[in-house]
Amino acid sequence: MTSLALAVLGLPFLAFLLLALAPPLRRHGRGAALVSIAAIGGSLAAALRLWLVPLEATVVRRWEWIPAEDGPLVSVGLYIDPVGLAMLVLVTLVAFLVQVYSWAYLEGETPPSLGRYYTYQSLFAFSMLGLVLAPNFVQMLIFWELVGLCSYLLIGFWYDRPAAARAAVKAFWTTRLGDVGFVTGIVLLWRATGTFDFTALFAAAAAHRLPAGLSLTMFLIYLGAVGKSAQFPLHIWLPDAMEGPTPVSALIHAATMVAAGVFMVTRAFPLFAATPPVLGLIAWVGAFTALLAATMACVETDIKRVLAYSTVSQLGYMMAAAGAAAPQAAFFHLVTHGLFKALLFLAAGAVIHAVGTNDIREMGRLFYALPQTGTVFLVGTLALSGIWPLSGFFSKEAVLAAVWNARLGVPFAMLALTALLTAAYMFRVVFLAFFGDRQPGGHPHDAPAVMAVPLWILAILTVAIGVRGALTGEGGQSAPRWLPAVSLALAAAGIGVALVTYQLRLVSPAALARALGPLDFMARRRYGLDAAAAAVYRGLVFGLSRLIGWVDRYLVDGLVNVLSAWTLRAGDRLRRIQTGRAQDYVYGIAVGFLLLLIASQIWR
Amino acid sequence: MTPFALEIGVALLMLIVLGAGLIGGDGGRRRTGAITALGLVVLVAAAFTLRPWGSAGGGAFVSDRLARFAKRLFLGSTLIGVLASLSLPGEVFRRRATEYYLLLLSSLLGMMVLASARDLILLFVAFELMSIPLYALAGFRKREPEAVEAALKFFLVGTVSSAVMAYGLSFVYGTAATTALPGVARALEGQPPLLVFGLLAVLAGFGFKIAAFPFHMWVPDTYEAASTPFVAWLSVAPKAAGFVALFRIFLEGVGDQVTLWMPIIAALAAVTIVGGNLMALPQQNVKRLLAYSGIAHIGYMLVGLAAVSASGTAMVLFYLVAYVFANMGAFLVVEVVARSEGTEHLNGFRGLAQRSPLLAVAMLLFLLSLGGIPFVAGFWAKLYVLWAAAEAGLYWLVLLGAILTVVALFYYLVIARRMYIDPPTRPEPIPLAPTMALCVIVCVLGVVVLGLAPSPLVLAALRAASRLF
Repeated sequence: MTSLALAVLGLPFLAFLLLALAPPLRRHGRGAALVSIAAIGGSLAAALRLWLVPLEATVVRRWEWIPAEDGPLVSVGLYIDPVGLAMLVLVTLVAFLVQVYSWAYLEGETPPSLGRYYTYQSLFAFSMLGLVLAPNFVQMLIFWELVGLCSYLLIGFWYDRPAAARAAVKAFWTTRLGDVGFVTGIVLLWRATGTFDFTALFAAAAAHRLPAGLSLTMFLIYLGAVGKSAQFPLHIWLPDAMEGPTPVSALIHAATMVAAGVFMVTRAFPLFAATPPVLGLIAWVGAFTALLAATMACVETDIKRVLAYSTVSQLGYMMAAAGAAAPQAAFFHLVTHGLFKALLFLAAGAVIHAVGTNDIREMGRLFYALPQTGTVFLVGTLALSGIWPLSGFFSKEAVLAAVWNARLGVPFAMLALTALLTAAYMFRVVFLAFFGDRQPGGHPHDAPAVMAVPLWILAILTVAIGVRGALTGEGGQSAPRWLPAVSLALAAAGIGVALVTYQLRLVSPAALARALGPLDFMARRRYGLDAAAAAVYRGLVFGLSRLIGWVDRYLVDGLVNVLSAWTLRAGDRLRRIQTGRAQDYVYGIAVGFLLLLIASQIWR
Repeated sequence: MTPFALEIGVALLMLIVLGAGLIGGDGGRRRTGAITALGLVVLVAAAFTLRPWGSAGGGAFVSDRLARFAKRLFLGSTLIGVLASLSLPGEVFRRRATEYYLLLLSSLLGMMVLASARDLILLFVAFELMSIPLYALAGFRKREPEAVEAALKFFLVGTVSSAVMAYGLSFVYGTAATTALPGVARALEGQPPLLVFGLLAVLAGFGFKIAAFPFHMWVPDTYEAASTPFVAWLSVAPKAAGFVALFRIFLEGVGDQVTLWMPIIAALAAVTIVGGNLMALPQQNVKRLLAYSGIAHIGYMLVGLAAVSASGTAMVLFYLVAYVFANMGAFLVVEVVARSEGTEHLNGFRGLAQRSPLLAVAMLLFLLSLGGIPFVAGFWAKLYVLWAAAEAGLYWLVLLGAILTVVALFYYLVIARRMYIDPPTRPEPIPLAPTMALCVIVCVLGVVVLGLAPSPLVLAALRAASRLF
């Protein structure tokens, strides 16, 4: 068990080490890709093997890392439970498929940069898996930050493009802002409880032995998830992160890393459950994020950015479920969304690969040119819109049921409206890009098999999970009886809106935009949130930086320069006692002995 | 198992090397070295598997956890030193390879006995057995005037400090009326002034061996002139032996009187840290730089000793192991670079990262460890030593130590800058002998593994130090 889990974690790490330390292999490109793919493949096999054996109880292995007098201060180890195992399978599966897909997608790259890509991919897989397996907050934080680093490296993979470099920095900064809260929260929690360990914390929570007044602490920890999982108001980095290669968007900014925040909240749920105000906040912010992002997705014209806003919106769904005290619903949606969103991104990648543009206004009738890609994109769209019997229907229903049962009326309304908008904006993309009447330029054709097979695997899984849900009736037990009908009706309404506007053209989009005038205006400008963040960043951070810069340059540097000059001079003076003459050395011994005697007399 | 098992092993190995050297003739250089290395491999394995517990000579010689920990350290570092010496060019030896390895082994034997000695006479004899071969080894390149001069200085200063120590021992015996260390410890009750005087003289003698400021003066000259693989070993193994002997004399069984030493050793630690670090700053010769930085490290170990507690002592042991890997590794890289470039000046390191990236990474890891950067071994070593001092209430010393790590980083990073930022003077990579590569890899592994997972060694060190108090 432990060794299998270590294999899951260790294989990508070994691949990373090999690629990082053997430049010839890395610069070979294709060889590096093979090493990385083989490692993640092995990791996937081990994860599946672990997952298929039913787990009796949570398995925790710890190795003491930083010994301290009363018990180790920090351990490292593995925390294996059903949720973690499912997450391991999801991460390794999507990572494996994405790495295979990238083989063909990035064929235009030079071998060294391909090798660099796979080195980062291996490091990312290791970091994400380490995060999932972490048995305490410190290990989680370490891998959390490693994941952030990989995200930065991969968004900025094409670092010679200014937009990509800027987006990488923006993503890093924004998530760091949440991480400040995360770190502070972890330390406060440690001060209050004396441990970082999940098992000990959960045991305390179960026995109601947690100290009172943890609300601020848990809020700070939640801030980490706000950054990582792109919740309002820190969601601004995710759409820009689409500057990275599309497979990266599929893996990191759709299926796995952005889900880390949701995963952390589900993992630490017993602690959040002890602070109802924070839980309520999580639900409200989640629902609001879902709605806000959905409206922005409706006016976006870049296919990847539509999907990015949709990811933000769906992350809001997951958070709302977690806030409604239903972590299992949140996690269920995380898994189904991870699969079909990866599918959508990879399919979008195939489209971009074929037509050479991201703009959906320049696409059209692609379904006839790319029948395979079109089919799988449609499967993903239907799942995302929550159409029976695809996986998205069941997980979305679980989320809505949880929020309804928690008597969160307004968030429920926001999520219901989001469901309608989701279907609308996704089918807007489908009708504009895959149907319609505009002929695309060139001769687009379906992706090669290396790219198509991962797409089909994800599509099949999306259908299979849905069909399994339909057959077993899982997830819907606690839902009100009217919910499936309402949720389907909302989705149908959304599709209807898209159909009449973009396919049948009974209503012109411009007229619709005029009717919703101010809203459309605001959504197009992203509600001014990006501008506000930029203004805060420029004003506050730059202002403060200038002040600190002045203090540093003139006061601190001055002091340091004086001190270091004195130090250097002292070193130079002291060096002169080293005369090179043996008799002086012997005097040194005599002087030293005398000093020892004097010291012993002074401090009697 | 007799408590002398490992010492007998070393003595046997000496006989074998001697015999092989006698029948070897001209081709014996490589052979005696290889035999020494092989024998040490066997002895290291034995040190980690055999359990030579017990005592002999009425308690004059003990084989306890501390002795075992120390002997593993001596044997391991000597193995690295011998392996590194195998790659020395032939003209260094001039058909005297057998002498070189025999001297090394007899010094090793002295250290091993020293770690077990609990009687003043045995201790002094072991101390001399350890020291005298070192003087000869320091002047081994006898056709080079600097080496001869350095060896002579080393010898002069060494004999003077031995004399100071012997003088002190006579006072100790005169007051305590016994040469057995437990008896001396008991006699310290009431702190008779003559006994304290005698022990301070002993401390001065050991101050020379561990190179504490201002007994350090022989260090830079000797390090600069002697052959580097030997210096790498000289900079760690005899120092470790000196510390173990200090534990035996000043801490073991002394009980409450132990606080007597705290201010004196703390003062010694403070001047050593300051002196070593400041004098390292202006150095342009890498070996001299490492010599002074090594003095500063001794200061940090003295900080742990000044805590006069079980945890402080254990952390000195941990520090010693971390220091063995980082310092030996750094010296070995210096040897590789200096042999290829023909200079020990800092400039030899220019652009090393472009010429031999792996060698540069290894050196960077050693420097980071010496500088005490997290997640390499030296970080934990410094942290734990300062922690122990803080527990003992020596906050001023902790502050001083922490401030001077910044100074230390300055000169370590000067080397890193040469390697990574400055352009190379020549493009071709630096040749690396296989045995030398093996040594560097072992040191890198030691630094990295201890940096990531320090706890097994910390616990072992705590166990080794637990019986002293």
